[in-house]
Amino acid sequence: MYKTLMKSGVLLAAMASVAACSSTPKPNTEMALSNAALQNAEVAGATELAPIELRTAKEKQAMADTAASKKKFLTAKHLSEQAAVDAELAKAKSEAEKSRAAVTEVEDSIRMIKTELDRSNAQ
Amino acid sequence: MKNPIVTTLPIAAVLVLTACGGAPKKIDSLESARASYSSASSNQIIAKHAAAELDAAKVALNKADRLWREKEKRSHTEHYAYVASQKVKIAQLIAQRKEDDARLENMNMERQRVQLDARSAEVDRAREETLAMQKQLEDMQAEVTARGIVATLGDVLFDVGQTSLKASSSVNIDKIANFMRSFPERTALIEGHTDNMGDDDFNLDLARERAFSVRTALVARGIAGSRITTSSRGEASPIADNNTAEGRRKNRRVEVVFPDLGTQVSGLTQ
Repeated sequence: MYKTLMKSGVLLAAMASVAACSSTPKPNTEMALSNAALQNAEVAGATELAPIELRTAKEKQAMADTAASKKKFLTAKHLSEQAAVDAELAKAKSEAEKSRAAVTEVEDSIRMIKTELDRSNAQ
Repeated sequence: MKNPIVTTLPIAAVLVLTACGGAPKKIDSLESARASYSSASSNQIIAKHAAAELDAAKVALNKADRLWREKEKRSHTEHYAYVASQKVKIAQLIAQRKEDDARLENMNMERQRVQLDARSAEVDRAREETLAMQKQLEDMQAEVTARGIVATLGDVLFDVGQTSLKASSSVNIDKIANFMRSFPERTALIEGHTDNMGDDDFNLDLARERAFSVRTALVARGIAGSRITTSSRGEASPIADNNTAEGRRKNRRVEVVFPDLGTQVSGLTQ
């Protein structure tokens, strides 16, 4: 709930930026990039390994789509850019988690073999 | 790690009030993006592993700075400050992952080394066990046969026609007991044998009693009775010629058979 509130702070900031004085074209590139970044994050396993970051990215992307359909292009651009970095973060986090888990697994197995070795040497 | 989103909330509220108007002195999210960028970029590991991400953070940070100096709408500065902060976090995670991946490579080699150690220790242990067993087999003058390990106790164990062990037999019994203590997974079959002098039934009984005496002596030395079975072959399985005194002496005997335990004994046959 608190998180949602915080997030809406960012969204509000991004949306407010549309304000009066801008003429931005439709941010097709940014929107395509955030789509790709989201896909990459999901491929990296973010659904399980970085669900909060992934959800944030998806929400921003959905809001970017809405903003674009209302021709609020600057807002759409900023939201797309944020969705993209959030998705990149989700991907980086997922990959980091996987590597950390692999390290832990090998550490554990080395420790197990050493313990076994010590015990049988002690016999 | 400080979440830039947190700092954004009050600022967004302020933004609504200030709109396109004059800028306050500082923007927290920009300050914190600068701080996290400068600490990340001075970290050798992050600089080495995630230079591209740091560059992207720098670009966003510069953009935020420029917008701020040009007194653009605060929300634009906020946006690029946010992007910069996220890029820094991404850089940190990439660096952490690459470090872990490098460690993983070393650790996989370490694991292989340890596995080899464990395996050779196991081989050493098996070899020692085999040597220990061989020594005991020599001690007992046992032979490895198709039935398993067979230790033959000669007729010195008993007086003629008697079923109780002679005192002088205890050295031989001790050796059997030692072996069974060293290899607690082994069971023993004790078989009594006689020469062909006298009545068949008498010989069967005599051999049975003698086998049982050996069992009792082993149990007295602390060997579990459940590991020992006895049987009698009487005069049915001679190993020498019953027509000579020497042959009959050889035929009067107790055999202790230790059946094979799968692969355990196979190393001993050569």
